[in-house]
Amino acid sequence: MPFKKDRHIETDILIIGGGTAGCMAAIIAGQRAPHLDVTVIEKANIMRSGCLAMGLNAVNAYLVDSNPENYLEYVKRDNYDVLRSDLVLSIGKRLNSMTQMLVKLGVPVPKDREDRFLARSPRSILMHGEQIKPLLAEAVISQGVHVYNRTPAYRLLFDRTGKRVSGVAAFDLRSMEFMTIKAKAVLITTGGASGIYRPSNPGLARTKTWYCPYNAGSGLAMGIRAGAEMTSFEMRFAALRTKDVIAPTGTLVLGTGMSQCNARNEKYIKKKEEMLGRPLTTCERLLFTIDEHKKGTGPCYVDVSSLDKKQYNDLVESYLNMAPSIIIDLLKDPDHPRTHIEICGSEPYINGGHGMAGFWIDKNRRTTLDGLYAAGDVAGGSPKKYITGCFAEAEMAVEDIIKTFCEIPEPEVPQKSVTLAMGEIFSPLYSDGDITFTEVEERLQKIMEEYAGGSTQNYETSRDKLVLARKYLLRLFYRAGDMKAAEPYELMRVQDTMDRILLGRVLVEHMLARCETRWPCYQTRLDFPMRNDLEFLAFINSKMEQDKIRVLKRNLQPPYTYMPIEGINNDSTN
Amino acid sequence: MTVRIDYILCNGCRGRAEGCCEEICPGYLFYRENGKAVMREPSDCWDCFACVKACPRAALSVELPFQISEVKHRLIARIKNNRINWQLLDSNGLTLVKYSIQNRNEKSKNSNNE
Ligand SMILES: Cc1cc2nc3c(=O)[nH]c(=O)nc-3n(C[C@H](O)[C@H](O)[C@H](O)COP(=O)(O)OP(=O)(O)OC[C@H]3O[C@@H](n4cnc5c(N)ncnc54)[C@H](O)[C@@H]3O)c2cc1C
Ligand code: SF4
Ligand code: SF4
Repeated sequence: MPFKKDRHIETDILIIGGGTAGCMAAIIAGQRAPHLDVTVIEKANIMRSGCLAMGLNAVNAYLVDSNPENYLEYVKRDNYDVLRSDLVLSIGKRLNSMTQMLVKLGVPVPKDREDRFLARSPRSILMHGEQIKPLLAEAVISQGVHVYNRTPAYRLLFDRTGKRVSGVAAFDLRSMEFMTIKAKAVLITTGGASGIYRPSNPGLARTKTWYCPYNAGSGLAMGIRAGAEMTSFEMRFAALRTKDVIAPTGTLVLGTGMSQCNARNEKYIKKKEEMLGRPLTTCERLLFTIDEHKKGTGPCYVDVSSLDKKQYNDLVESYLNMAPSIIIDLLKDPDHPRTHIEICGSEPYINGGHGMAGFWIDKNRRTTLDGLYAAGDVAGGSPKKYITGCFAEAEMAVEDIIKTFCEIPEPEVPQKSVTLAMGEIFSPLYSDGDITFTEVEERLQKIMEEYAGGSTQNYETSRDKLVLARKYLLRLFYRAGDMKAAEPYELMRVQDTMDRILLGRVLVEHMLARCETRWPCYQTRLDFPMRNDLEFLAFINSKMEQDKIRVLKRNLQPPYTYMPIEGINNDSTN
Repeated sequence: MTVRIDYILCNGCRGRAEGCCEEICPGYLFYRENGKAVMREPSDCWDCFACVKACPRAALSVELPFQISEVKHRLIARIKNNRINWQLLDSNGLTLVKYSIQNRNEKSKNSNNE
């Protein structure tokens, strides 16, 4: 089925990806700049797209008895000092006002008798967020924002100078129209990426991942292709989750007082914390769980046997608000609900909302590409932002767009680049290649799993394995051009797969460059098992130049000057 | 199975340009054929329940794939008047447990019926 015709749209503010950050950006732009034309283009349907499709049960970043400085201190400690303090602090200042926005939208956020939100921890509160996404989407629509659903975007478009981002190229999954959207300002909010590593489950269960499987990281890939600077891809995010169903474990542990134990019922996390005299970092919780397995005292569980009936009911309700299918397993025998819930590490993801991988941005959420902003999981440098942090970034980006709007030139996109983008997006429809996207995706996941530290490798890797990964990925990258698509859905999957391979390649270059182990599990180099503060209290960044991935190193402190990098051999084309 | 389609209940959302399930699924996994919903690729389903909640005929429910569970219970959800009502059914369709949870503030402008 070849494409039908093309369609060109013009707008003032274009938002790519109508998820958490994208919807909030559209709402705020609509409220504060009613004279501007705002357009959202969304791969799925904004009513239930992205990470929030299932709903949520907590605001993970809300300052209960804390302040922005304490929040920064906490994130810094948890992240072993490498992060953008300026970004984290700016988010911290807005977390609570963003929570109020949620309440205004109509999301039930329960309170106690003294009118305080119910805290799960000093930085997290309960929420009945089953409807969070439809509520956000309805607010977007009521602002008169133009929304194009089922319109995945795959290429950025530039103006005549080739320097300023002036729009995006996409296609409509239902009509198969090629679409270009020209805009004065472009905000990218397409989330992080899953599906790069081999999923934990086989067959029909392969998509029971924690991160949204439909977030393929296309926004990141678009940026990389266009030469945007990326940061910290080597810091992957892997989550400690319930086994098989891969539901979040915070629901079990936070606020319930329940703790993790090994197969011998020893509270290994508590023990470690007592021994070290400090709380564990998030990646250490995963690390020490894996250690139990290595010692032969696994598997590990969350023991909820001491919950009374009401508490257990609350637990079930919390899960129904966020990861409902775990209930089928928990209440397998409703008279004897499961009391020991097995936990494991998930497959790794690229994600700037829990982790730190994403676009390198400035304090106004501008990327290094003129005219392009980024917010949410697609933006790097500030981990642990979660929904409220994504909202905060959206607000900051929109504020800057509105403030500078009168200085922005009219967008113009030369026909040549439109034709080029169309060719690149639609070429799989005309390919007489011999491979399917499933084959390519599985090949990618196998390479990443086995050579770049997947969960079955305890997230560990080393130089020689990474060099092999680089070689195999490059081969795959070229061969993947033979993927064929017969209809719109397949075309989307082929493009997603191409994007995932590119992200895998960038990730491997980053992992090769960080010759230390800073964040155990998220980034473990067996050949450099210790932290090396002398050399690596710094950012590893990258940029694509003439089809090659160039690795860069930046100082930790503003103005984040570039530093010389020794011993990093850049992406070779063998 | 991941999402189970009850073909007796599904009427293909007759009269609608798109089936409600087809319209909402974040993975674009449904299409319609001969007046019934069909799933493109069950193994690409995230179990997000968006389709289950949206189906006007209650024709959809979620079962865990055999690869991760031998239990054949299934979970169904209906949204009405600012509440979501969950039901866990056994393989014979008998209700095992029920939950009803408020999902929108009373004051919220649009009360919902997805
Ligand atoms: C299962 C799960 C549970 C979580 N629980 C909590 C919690 O309880 N509390 C909390 O605070 N945080 C939680 N988080 C984290 C939080 O949900 C995320 O950090 C946040 O939602 C990310 O927002 P985002 O806008 O960056 O991405 P998303 O909300 O995922 O939005 C990305 C959007 O972009 C669209 N898109 C992708 N590619 C394209 C393309 N090529 N073209 C057009 N559109 C595209 C997607 O369809 C999607 O709509 C959870 C995350 C997950 C995955
Ligand atoms: S929403 Fe329900 S009734 Fe409509 S097509 Fe889908 S399964 Fe059938
Ligand atoms: S559960 Fe979610 S991902 Fe699965 S088919 Fe339904 S809407 Fe699609």
